[in-house]
Amino acid sequence: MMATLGKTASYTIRTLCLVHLVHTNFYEFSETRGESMLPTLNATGDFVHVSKYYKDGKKIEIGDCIVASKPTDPHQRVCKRITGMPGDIILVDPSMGSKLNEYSTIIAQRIQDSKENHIDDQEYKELLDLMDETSTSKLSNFNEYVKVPPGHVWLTGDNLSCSVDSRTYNFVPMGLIRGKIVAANDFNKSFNDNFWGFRWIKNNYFTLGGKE
Amino acid sequence: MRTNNTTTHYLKQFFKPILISITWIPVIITFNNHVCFVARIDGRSMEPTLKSGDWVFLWKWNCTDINAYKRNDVILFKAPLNSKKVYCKRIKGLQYDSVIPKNINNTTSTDAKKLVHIPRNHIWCEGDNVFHSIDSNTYGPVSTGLCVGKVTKIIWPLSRFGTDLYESQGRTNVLYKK
Repeated sequence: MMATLGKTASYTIRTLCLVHLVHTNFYEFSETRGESMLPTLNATGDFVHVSKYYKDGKKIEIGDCIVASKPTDPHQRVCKRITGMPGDIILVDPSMGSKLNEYSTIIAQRIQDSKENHIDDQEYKELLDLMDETSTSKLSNFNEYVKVPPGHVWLTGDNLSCSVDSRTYNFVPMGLIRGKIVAANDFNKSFNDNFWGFRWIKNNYFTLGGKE
Repeated sequence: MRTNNTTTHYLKQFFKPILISITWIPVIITFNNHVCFVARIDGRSMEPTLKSGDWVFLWKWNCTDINAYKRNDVILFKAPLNSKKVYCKRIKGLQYDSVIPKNINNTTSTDAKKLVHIPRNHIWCEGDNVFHSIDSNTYGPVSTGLCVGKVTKIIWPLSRFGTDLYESQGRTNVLYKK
C-alpha cells in the first residue's frame, strides 16, 4: 500500500511540475477581472490566452496587451496595454489638467455662491488660499512630459477613466512583464456564439510615416 | 522468436531508466526556479565580499516578498534597465525608508530635497565596491518583483567557502534617520 501511495505521489509531483513549467514559460489560460480594459476585455467572465514567449518584454511592441506584475505589489498581476516603449516621450495625462477637474474651479464657484450670501473676510481669505494651493500649476504632475527609460514601458488600460496604471505607479520595468495576451474567450456568451466568444486581441497601433 | 524477445528486453532495460529520468527534469527545474540554486558572480561591483568567478548558493523561496529580506542582505535581481541581465547587490534600504543617495561627486548630502523615499515593495540596492557599482544610485529603487533570490553562502572557490557575507557592508550612512 505504501508503494502505491508513493507511486501516486511521485506521478502527481511530476505532473504538477510539468504543468507549472508550461504555465510559466509557454502558455496560460486564466480569468481577468476589472473594468480597466473595457471594451477590449469584459469586466467579468473573460478568460484570456496568454503567451509566455513574450516574458520579460521579449519582442514586445507598442500597442500589445500584456500581463505584468504590479511594481508596488508583485503578487498582484495586471492586464494593460503598452502605450510607451523605451525612448518614447509621454504626456502623462492631459485630462487631469482640464479646468473641469480642477479643485480650484470648484472653490471659485463656492466663492461666487458665498459672495451672493455674504461670507466674512476670514473665510473668504481662506477660500482664496485654498484655490491658489490647488491650482493646476502647483499640483499637476499630470501635465508633464516624461521620457521612458531604457528597459521600461508605459502601461495604460483601455478604459482610461477607470484604470490604475502607469499614470499612478510610473514606468514598469520589462522584467515584470509576465506574458502577452493573444486571444480571449468570453464565458458570458454561449458555446454556439463563436466558441464562447473567442476573439484575437489585436494590436491596432501603427506609426504615422514611421519606420518601415 | 527467442532472439527478438531478448533484444527488445535489453532495449527496454536501457531506455526505461532514461525515459523515467526525463520525466523528473521538470521537477528539478521547478525546484531550481523556486527553492534554491547556484549562481556565478561576474563583475567587480561586490568586491571585496564577492569576486568575479565566485559561485554562490542562492535561496529562492519567496524571493518576491519584501518580508523575506533584511537590510544588508546580498541579493540577485533582474536589471531594471535591461531585463536580460541579472545583478548582484546588497540591500541598503527597504520599503518606506528614506535614503541618502551617493551623488555624482561621490559625496553625500543630507539635504532633504535630495532624499529618496522608497515606495511600497521596493528596495534600495548598492554594490559594496562604492566606486565601481551601477546600482540604485543610478536607476532608483528596485521592485521586489524583479528579485531572483538571496545569496546565502559562497561555495566556490573552496578557500573562501562559507565566508561571512556581512563582514564588509559597503557604504554606511545610507539611511536617513530623523
